[in-house]
Amino acid sequence: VKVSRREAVKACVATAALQAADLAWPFRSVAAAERDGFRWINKHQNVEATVWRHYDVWNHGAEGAGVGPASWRGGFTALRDILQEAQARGRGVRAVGRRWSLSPVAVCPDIMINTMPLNYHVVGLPASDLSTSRVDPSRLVFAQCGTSVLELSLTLESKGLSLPTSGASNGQTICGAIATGTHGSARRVGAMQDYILGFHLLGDDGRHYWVERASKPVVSEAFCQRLGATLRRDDRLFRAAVVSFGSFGIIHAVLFEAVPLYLLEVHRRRLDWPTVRDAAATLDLDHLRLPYRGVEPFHFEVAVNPYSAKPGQRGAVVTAMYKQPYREFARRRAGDVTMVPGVDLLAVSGRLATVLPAAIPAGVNSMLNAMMHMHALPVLGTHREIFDTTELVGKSLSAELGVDLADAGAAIDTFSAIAADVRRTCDVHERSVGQVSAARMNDDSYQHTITERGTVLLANRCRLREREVGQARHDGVGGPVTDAHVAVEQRERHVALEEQGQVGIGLAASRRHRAQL
Amino acid sequence: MLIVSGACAHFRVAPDSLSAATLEERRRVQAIAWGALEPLVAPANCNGNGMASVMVTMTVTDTVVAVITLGFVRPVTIEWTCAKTQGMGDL
Repeated sequence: VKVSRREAVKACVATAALQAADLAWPFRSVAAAERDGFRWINKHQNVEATVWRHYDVWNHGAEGAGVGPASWRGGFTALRDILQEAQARGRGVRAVGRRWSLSPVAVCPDIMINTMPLNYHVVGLPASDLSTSRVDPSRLVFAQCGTSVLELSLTLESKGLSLPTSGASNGQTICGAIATGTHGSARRVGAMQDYILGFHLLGDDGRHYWVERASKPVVSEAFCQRLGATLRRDDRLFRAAVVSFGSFGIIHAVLFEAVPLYLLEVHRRRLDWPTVRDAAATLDLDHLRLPYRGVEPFHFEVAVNPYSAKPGQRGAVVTAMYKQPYREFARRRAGDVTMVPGVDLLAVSGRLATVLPAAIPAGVNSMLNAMMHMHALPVLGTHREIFDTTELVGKSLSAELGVDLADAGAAIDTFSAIAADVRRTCDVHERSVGQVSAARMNDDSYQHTITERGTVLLANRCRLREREVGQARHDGVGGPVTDAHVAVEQRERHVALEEQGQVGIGLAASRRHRAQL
Repeated sequence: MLIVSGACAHFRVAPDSLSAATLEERRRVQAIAWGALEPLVAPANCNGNGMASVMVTMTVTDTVVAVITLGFVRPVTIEWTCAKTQGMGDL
């Protein structure tokens, strides 16, 4: 192997720099608890895998070694050591947050890292850490990857600040939410990754970088020197790495600007879907009898019972949240014990629906009723208080599609039509890769199959295509569905099923499609 | 029975201001001889921290075992997650 003189010099410099950094940092890797042959399972218990080695990475040792100022260095060193070990052994690595993904995207058969203990966060940076005056240094937040949205919100609230938005939940870790492209919950604010200003990226060979946009530089060289990181300002690199599903090194920490603390005032109405339909597509809410006529809500959502979508059936629950300046107010104190949905509620409901599909519309209706009775409206609270921690446990599945706002009404009409059809033809197969898959087959039953990724009803996509409704999956893959797209999706699904020995589990129709492919 | 056969009774303790630092750990335990011997679960994975949540699960099978043995054996499953360290600080 020929090595140029320049490369040799670079390697020597890099090695020397790493050794110098080791000497400069007081904390060695005292903080990674490893387990081999670990059985990993995601939050919603629909993805399981055996992992060669699993690490819980902490910032400090079990006896408290490393606790204190700048204790993030202990966790960072542990991450770096794991990466170097993996590289030496030729193993892959994936860092994981709260494990909320319903797909196997987080699974790595070699080494998986639980980053949840890495929760060091700092609010406010000295002006010398900045290279711009466009941001308020007192509102800048440096947060380690495992810091949860709940932790950030609690800390920020104590300082009169708030997250600009969240994924309508407090449960995720900040980097898990960002790296997987989690949506926001506020109009005109964007998704969570949209407010990230820069991040600390750990790459191979222990090299680490501070990455931010060239078009929006924020930190100074002094800041990077304190981290020991190389500064990279590059818009394309930033965009590629910020939502990278854990495949672009390990994002150790992020920097964002918090906003002044605010309250959300929640109003909810039960209305007919046809009454709401136009508002859902235009966000012109004047005829919905909401307060603050003419004022744009901070958050607007419509929950629709697809089985009660006709006039007079009051099949829609409209929720509008209005942003208010923060003020102290009397909070209702919950008792020590409250009744919440049980761990097995979803599983039992699924079985009940299988035995008695006619009960599904009433079940959905009771959920909408519960939404109306959950609070004595209007409800007032901070972002954290209004969006809870989503601690629903037990097996569950969700499917999401993004459509253009103007197509929202048509999309929901489409789903309503499909829902009635699916109710007649679908069943729940707990052991199926598809989770929910067609049980009683008919000619187009394959198209009623939810993919194992839990992200899309292929049937919905096809029907939407018929109506010329553009769409995107929750993971951002999207655009108009073409015949080739459908064929590829069917083929991918079949290959995945075949690899996992799942062909034949209630998927007779897929064999027919296989022949067509 | 067919519908609820997978159902269990779960009892959870989980302060709403705490975030979990670890994945769920689970142990099957039994109290023996009407409580003369009882299990003590000492989590070793919390890195010196306390716990963020504890859940006790009692299945239909556990209940049947307790009834058949007239309470001599009382099995349950205990599951916990560890709490995080206080994370606020300076760079």
